Amino acid sequence: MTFLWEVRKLLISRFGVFFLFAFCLLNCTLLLMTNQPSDLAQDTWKTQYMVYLEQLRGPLTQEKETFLAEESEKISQAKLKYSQLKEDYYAGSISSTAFARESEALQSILRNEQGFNVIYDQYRRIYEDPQNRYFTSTNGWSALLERCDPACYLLLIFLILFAAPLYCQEYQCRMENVALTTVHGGVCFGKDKPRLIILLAIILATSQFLIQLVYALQRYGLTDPTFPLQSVPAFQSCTRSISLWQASVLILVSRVLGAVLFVLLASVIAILARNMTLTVFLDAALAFLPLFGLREDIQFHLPLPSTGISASAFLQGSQTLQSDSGTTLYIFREVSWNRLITLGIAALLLILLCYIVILRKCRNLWAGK
Amino acid sequence: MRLIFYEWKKLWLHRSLIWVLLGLLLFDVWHIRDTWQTSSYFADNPGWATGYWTIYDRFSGDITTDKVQSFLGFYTPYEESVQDMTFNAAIDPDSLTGVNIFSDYLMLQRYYFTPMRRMVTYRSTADSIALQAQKNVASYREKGNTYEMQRNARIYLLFQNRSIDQFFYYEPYARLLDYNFSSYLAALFIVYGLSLLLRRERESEMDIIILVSPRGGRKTLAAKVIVGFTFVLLTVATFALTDWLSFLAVYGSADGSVLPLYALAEFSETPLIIPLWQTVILYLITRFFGFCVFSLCYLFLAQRSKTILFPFLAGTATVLGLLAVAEHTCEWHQVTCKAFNPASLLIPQSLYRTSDFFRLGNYPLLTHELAFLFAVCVCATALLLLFALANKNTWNHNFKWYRKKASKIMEEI
Repeated sequence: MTFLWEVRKLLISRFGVFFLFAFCLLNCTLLLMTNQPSDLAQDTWKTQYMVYLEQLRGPLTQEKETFLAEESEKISQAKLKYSQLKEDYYAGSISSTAFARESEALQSILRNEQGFNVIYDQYRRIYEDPQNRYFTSTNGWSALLERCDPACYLLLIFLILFAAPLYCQEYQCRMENVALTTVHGGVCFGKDKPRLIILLAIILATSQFLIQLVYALQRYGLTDPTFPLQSVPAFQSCTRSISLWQASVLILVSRVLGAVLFVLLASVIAILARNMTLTVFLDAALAFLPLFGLREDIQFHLPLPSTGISASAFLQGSQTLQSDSGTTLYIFREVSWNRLITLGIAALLLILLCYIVILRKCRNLWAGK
Repeated sequence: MRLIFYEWKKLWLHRSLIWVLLGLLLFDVWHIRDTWQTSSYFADNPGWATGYWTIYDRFSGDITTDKVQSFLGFYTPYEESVQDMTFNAAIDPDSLTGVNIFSDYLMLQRYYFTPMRRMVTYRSTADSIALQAQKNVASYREKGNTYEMQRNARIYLLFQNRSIDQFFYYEPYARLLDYNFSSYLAALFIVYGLSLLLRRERESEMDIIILVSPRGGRKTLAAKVIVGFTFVLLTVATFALTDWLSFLAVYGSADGSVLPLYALAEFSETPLIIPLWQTVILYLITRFFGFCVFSLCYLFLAQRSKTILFPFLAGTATVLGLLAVAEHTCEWHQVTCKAFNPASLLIPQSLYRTSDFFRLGNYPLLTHELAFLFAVCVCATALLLLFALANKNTWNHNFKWYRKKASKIMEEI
């Protein structure tokens, strides 16, 4: 019963419904305004590209390689012939009807040239690691899986917006003394509030992911979810053998865990600080300082809520640089499976710890006396 | 005056403010050390630093022909042996950097040869720009194009007689003038401090009582605004000083302070003709202006809204968003993109790197001049709005009204 009251308080008296709606709307606007296809040529020459992709979809095989070589030969021959034909026509050695007839045949070969260039670029990338990289259209998966900082900031800001007043509003008008001495006060403070805010965090993180999913599906299409993750250029050096849909699930889980951890940490901060201004400041510092101040190499090896929310670097492969003295310098070190599992467990333990702190701090004073 | 003092005292009575400031400063210093580790060649190869400093005294200081000749005499054998591929690739502890000849060559090339060559040839580059501008002035005068004439005259004045006469270790300054992270930290801290300044009375509903006291209303607000400005100045100065000192400490040399700003490769087209240590102070002033714009807008928002939550989040989101835009447009040559974005005042290198002009009427304005002008306009508007919409002092108001009424009654009697 008290839970429903809390829901009502948060969603209706504090305009929570309005904020949820605004969050979804802002996410959509952000996607529509800032999202660029990661492979512009693939998007521009989509129909021409699709002609070839339909024949080549899937792993690279010997036949496909031969086909690409033949096609490349055919197109370059046709181009050569066409320029020769034009020269002849302008020199006056062939008639306009002959030119039209001949050029039509050549044009039909050259019609899909731009699409062929796109797929040939893709082939060159796949050739380096044919075991893991498959032919597929990558823009949709890029839009869904790649790092998107503005969306991450938006989610964090809305999480603060929901989490900060949850406890602080009570502290501000000294209501906690009254509430904790009522029969259900402890339940309300210690159980209902964290439960509600966890639920909200899950809803916010999931809805953002769903909006991105629907956008990617509508704008580019998400085909071949069972292909390996390395097919997408941004993750091509990754050493994990997981498929695209598994990667999406992993990102969703990481975001949800990050969001839950963040709201619980924010609640603990609110309970300890008992002051709206300080709470909001510390929340903002917790959310944004790691994102701006730490290198990715450090960020993604720590159980931080904001890195959990930005998530996609967990899937990236190592990026290295050769130093002058020949040693390998790491720009980014891949997060290994073991490390990832450790991080997940650490996050879960932190969540548990936060929950225990909240329970301890919000004990019912009525029952005790 | 006393009001200002009280407000100032009240602000620093919040102990959390000091702890937060200390925490942020520590993070800043850690981040500067991290910057050194990731960006300086000296961090990866300690031998390079030793090698660099052993020959530093021989070649630093005034650039003279003798010195340049002796350096070339020192450098050429390395270059030749590397180009012939005749050098010994094995580890050689007796070499300059303790690695081998190739490592010595790379160090000398990156830290001595390239910068020295740029410094020696800078004079002729600047002179040719000035000469071209001078020619343009003459031709535009003939054609009667006053704007272009004035623009070229300004370019001529900015680029004439530029030369770099000294060679010093300038890496700390090159990194310091490119370092923005402290702006983010200062932004967070300022938003927090200003919220404390304004919100306490609001939260405890003290503002209504203050309004009916003799100095309530606009006088209190004026005191708060002045305290806000000094607070911003203090914060920006603290962060600037921390940055400056930590960069010099981490890189271990303050020799470069006397070099002109255009001695740095990224700033070779800068409109400023001042040494590096003055540039640091100019950065401080620029950041102060930028933060003033944001703080006034923020004060206005916080004054009007009921809880601190929305202004805080809206303020943080706006600053972060605009900073992201400013970082994105940092390398662009469009003046308007940079000047009309107050966040580019917080990353001053975007304003000082290039000499681009904006046409205001018939007068050419440099990017930073336009940005300052815009900042002053926004500040003035925000101040006006803040005071125009502030709650009026009810005490004074009622007092006057009673006095009028009383005098009327007295007259009637």
